Amino acid sequence: MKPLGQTFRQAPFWFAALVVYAFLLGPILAVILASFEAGQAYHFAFPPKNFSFEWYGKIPHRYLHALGVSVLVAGVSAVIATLLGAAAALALVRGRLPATELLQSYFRLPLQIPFVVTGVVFLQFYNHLAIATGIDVLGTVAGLIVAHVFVTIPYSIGTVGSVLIRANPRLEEAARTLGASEAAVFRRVLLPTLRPGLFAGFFYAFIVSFGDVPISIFIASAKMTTLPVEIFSTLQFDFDPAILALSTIVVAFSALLILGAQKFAGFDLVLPSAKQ
Amino acid sequence: MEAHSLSWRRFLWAPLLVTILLLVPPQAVFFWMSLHRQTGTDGLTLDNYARVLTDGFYLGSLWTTVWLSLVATLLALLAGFPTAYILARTRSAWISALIVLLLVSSFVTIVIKVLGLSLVLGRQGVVNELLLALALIDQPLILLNNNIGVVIGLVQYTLPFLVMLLFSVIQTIPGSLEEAAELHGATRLSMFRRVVLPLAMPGLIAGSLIVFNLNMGAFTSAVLLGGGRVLTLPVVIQRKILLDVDYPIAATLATLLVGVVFLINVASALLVRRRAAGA
Amino acid sequence: MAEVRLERITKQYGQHKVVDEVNLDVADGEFLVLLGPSGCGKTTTLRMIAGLATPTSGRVRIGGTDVTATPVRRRNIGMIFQDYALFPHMTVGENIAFGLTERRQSRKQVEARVRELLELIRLPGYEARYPEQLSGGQQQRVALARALAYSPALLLMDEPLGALDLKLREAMQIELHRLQRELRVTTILVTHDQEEAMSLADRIAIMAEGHVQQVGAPEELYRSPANAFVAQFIGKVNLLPGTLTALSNGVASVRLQDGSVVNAAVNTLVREPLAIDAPARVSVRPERLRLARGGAGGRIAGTVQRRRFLGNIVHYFVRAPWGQVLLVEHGAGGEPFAPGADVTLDWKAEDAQLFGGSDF
Repeated sequence: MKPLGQTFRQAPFWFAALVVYAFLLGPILAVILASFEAGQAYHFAFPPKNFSFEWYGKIPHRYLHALGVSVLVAGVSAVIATLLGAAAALALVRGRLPATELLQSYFRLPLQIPFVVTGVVFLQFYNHLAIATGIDVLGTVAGLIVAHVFVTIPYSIGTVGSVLIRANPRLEEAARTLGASEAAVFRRVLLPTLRPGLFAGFFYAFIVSFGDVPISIFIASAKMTTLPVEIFSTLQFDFDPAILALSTIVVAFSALLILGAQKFAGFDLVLPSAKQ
Repeated sequence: MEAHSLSWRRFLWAPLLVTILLLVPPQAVFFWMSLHRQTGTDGLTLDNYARVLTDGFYLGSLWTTVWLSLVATLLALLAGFPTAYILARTRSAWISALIVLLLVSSFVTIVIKVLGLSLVLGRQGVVNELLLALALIDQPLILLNNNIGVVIGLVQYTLPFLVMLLFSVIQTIPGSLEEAAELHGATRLSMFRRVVLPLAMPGLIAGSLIVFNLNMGAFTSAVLLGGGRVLTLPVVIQRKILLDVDYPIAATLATLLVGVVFLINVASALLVRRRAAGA
Repeated sequence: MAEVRLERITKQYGQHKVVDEVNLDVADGEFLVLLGPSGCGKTTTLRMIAGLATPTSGRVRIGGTDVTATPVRRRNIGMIFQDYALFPHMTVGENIAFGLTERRQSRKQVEARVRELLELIRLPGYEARYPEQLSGGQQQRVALARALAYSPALLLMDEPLGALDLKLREAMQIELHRLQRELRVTTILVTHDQEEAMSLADRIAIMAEGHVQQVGAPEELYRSPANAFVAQFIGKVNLLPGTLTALSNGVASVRLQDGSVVNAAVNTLVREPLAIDAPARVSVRPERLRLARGGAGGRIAGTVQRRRFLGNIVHYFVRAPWGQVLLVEHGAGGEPFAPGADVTLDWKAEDAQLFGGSDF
C-alpha cells in the first residue's frame, strides 16, 4: 500500500490526467451518445433520452460510398507504403550507406511539409500532368493513392527501421552456420522478426490515409471523395444527424483496428518516438 | 557480412525513385509558380513574395498562425506533461488500457472530433450548461467559430500524440533517480526541477517542435472551428486555390509557411545547442 | 570430423591488428580451448574459422581443404553463441531441425533425428515448446542440439557458458565434455575462464593481444608457462623482481631486491633473450612456497600480513623485505602463523622459474 502522503502528492497529476482524458474523449463520447438520440439531434444526454437506432438506418448512400473509397484508398496506400518503406528501412539500417543520416532526413521530409501544402502541390501537379500527358488522375482513386503513399512511407520506414535496429544479428549468423542460403536466412529468420514492424507500419499508414482531410480535399471531386472529406463538407454547409451514426461506426472501426494492431505489433511500436 | 551490406543497398532504389518522383517535380513546379505573377506568364519575379510580405492581411494571417500554434503548443505541454508523467510512473494493468484510449483518440479522424466539439462547446452544449448551472458564468461562452475554438481544435489534434511521446520519454528516466533525490532530501518540486525536467528536456523540446509544426500546418480544425473568421495560413492557402484559383499566390503563401516553420525549427535547434554549450 | 589448421591468420582494422599472424593446428576429434582476456582476439579468431569474419591475410583449412574463401553455410560447421541465438519464433523442434531442413531431409528423417537429439541432451518431449519457455541451461542444450543435428565436421563455441550461474556452468561443463567424448567431434571453445579451460580442454591455446602465447595441455601450461603472462593467467603465481647475475646449463642466478641470490630454472620454451645484469623475474607458485619461523635458513625473510582460512587450505599474505606482498598456500594442517610473525620463505630450486623483466 502506498503511504497516504504519496497518494495526496500525486493528486494534482491525476487531476491533470483526468482533465486531459475528459477533454479528449468527451467529444467522441458526445458523438456516440448523440447518434442514439432520435429526433433533431443537436443534443445528447447520458443515458440517451430517446434511444433509437433511427440515424443508423438513414445514412445517405453517398457517405457509404465515401467510406468505401476511404477504405480502398487507405488499404492500397498502406500496402504500397509498407512495402516501399520496408525496403528503404532495410537499405538504411543494413546497407551501410554513405550519408545515412542525410537519407533518413530526406525520407522524413513528407511529414515535415504541412499536409495542406502537400495537398495543394499534388493538385497542381496533377493538373500539369493532365495537360502534359492527358492522364487525369484528379478525382480518381489512383490520384488519392499516390498522394497518400507519399506521406505514409515515412511511417513504415520508422516502424520497420526500429525493429531492424533491435534485431539480433546472431540469429542470422546462426542460420548461416546451420547452412541456410541468404534467401533462406531472409525468409526464415529476418522476415518473421520484421513482422511486427510491418504490421505497425501498415496500421499507421492506413489510419493516416483513412483520416486525412487536407490532402484529400484537393484531390477529391464531387463524385469521388473520401469519408472525412464528405463529413467535412457536411459540417461546413449543412448538418445531417446521420453523420453522427456514421462517425460512431468509424470510431468503433478505428478502435478495433488499433486493438488488432496492438495485438500483432505490440505496444512499443505503436507509440510515437521523438525521432520524427 | 561485409558482402551482405552491398545486397541490402539495392533495396534503396525503389523507395528512393518513387519518393524523388513524388517530391521533387511537384514541389519544384509549385515553387516555380510562386515566382510568376500568373500561371503561364514568363518572367521570373519576386513580386508575389513582395506582395505577400507587405500586405497586412497576409502578415496578419501569418501572425495568427504562429500565435495560435504557440498557445496550443503551450497548453498541450501544460496538460500533457503531468499526464504523461503519472502514466509513466504508475504500475498498474490499467495503464496500457489508458494508453490504448489515447491511441484511439488520436486516430479518430479530426472531423469526427470536431463534430463532437461542436456538440459540446456550442451555446447549448454541455460545457456551457455546466458552467451556467454552477453559476460560474451568467451568459454562455462563445467557444466556437473563433480563436478559442481553433485553439481547442489544435490541442485536440496534438495532445494525444504529445502525451504518448512524453510517456516514452519519461519511461527512459529511471525511477531510481527520483528515489535517490528524495533520499537526499529533495522536495517533489525540487526533484522535478533538478532531475526530471533536465533529463526529459531533449524529448520535451523535440516533442514541442513536432507539435508546433503540426499546429502551424493544421487545416481542418482552423476551417471548421474558426467559422470562416479565423484565417490562419493553411485556411488562406486553401481559399486561394479553391475560391480564387490563384495558384501563384497560394504557392507563395505555402512556401512562406514552410519557410517560417523551417526557420523556427532551426532557430530552436540553435538555441538548444547554445544552452547546452553554455550550461 | 576434421582437423583444423590456421596459417598466419591476421585480422586488421585500420592500423589495429586484432589477430596477428596466428598459427594453430587442431587435431581431429580434439577439444581445443582458446583462452584469454577480453580483447585478446580469441573470438575474432573463432569467427574467422567459422567464416563469419574474413581474415585480412592467412588461410583457414578444415579437413585439409582451404576454406578461407568458402561461405559460412558450406563449411559444415556447428556453432553455439553466448546468447544461444535460438530462433524465438520457432519451436524447440523447429530450431533443432533448422539445419536439417536446409539440407533437404525427409520429414520422417528430420523428426526422428530431432527426437534422437532431444534424448541426447536429456530434454525428451520438448519439441513443441518455445525458447522463451525454457531456462538458460535448457536453451543452452537446445542450441547444442541444433548445432550437432547434421553431424558437422567441426563444433565451435563462443563463450557458451558465460550467462549461466556457477552450479549450472559446472553441470554444463560435464555435459559438454561427455558429449564431445561420445561424438568425437573436433571442438574449439572460446572462453576467458581459465578454470573452464582447464576442465574441458585437451589442449589450451592462450591468446593475448592478438598472438598465441602458448599451446599445450593444461598441465603443461601450468607447470611450464612460456612467459609471465601465461604463468599469471593460469593459476596464481608470485613474480619476484631482480637482476640476472649468471646463466648456465638451464639454471639462472638472480639477485633479488633484498640482496639475496636465488636460482631459477630456465624454461626451454621461453623465447626471450636473457642478458646478464638485465632485469629478470623469479616465478614461484603459492603452493610451492614454504613458511617457517623466522631466523636462519630459507631463502628470503618476510612478515606475515594476513591469514585467510579457506577450509582445506590456508592462504598467507607475506610481506617481503622490498615491500612486495607474496601469496603462500599451505594445507590446513600445519602450524598457523599469526599476522605480524617473522617468517622465512623457502622453495625447491626446481619450483622456481625464470622470466624476463618485461611485461610478458
